[in-house]
Amino acid sequence: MSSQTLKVLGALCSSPRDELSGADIARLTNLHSGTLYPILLRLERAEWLRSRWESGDPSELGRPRRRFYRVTALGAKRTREALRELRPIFRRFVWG
Amino acid sequence: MGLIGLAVFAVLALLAACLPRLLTDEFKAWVPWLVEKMISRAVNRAPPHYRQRLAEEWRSHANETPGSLGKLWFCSWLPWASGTLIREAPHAAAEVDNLGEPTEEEILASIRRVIAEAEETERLGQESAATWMGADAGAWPPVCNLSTDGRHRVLGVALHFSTVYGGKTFQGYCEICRKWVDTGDYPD
Repeated sequence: MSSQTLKVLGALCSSPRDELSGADIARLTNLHSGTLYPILLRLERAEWLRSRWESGDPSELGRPRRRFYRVTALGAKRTREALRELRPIFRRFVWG
Repeated sequence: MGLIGLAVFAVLALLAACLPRLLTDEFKAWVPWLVEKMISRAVNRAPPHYRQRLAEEWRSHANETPGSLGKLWFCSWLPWASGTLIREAPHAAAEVDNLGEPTEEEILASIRRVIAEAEETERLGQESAATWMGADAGAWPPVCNLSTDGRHRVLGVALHFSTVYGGKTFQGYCEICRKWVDTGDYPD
């Protein structure tokens, strides 16, 4: 799992909101669109993320609808596992 | 001479005062058009099955991005995203070159395929219903209220706790009434 993917999952898992839009995730992770969207679609294909359109009609909203992403139970589990695997590596790196 | 110099200076000063504002206004006026153009180009290079979704999602993202330069910065990375997505979907890449209107043959072929799949589903449904329900289909298992012939259309079975009898029985999921129904078979 790449560090960018972990950043995306971390942003989604640690956000107080259940769902985040692509723009919110970009803001939290500082990832540019060229990296962010392939990651989001890849995670969604793997069923680690689920997405839905903002409710409401674009003509009523007066702007394009946002797409919200949230982590699935599988995604949360895999993120925890990845972080658990990484923790000893970081500890070794920090303590030498 | 002094008067001409003064006039030229006045004109230049006026231009210097107006030009940055003029350029800024011009730039701001062109940004929405430029953003739209960049998004459209990137969307057209994305895998076909993602295009509609990405078009709206990227427009919404650009809309949420503050500042004209921020929007342009966001859009400048979109071709990268499209390129990555198309590389990840090689089967989709092949479709990119062939995105025009479908030919008559392609339409007919897809209709035939849909009909064949529907017929196969119907045949399997009838076979499975006949196999599992046997002669006493009217009495048990419960009749499918939504199907025209009162039979469940069950394509597969799984072992579940029976809602009618004690213990586990094989149950099938009826595609019409969308519930699990006992098939009457018990595990050995």
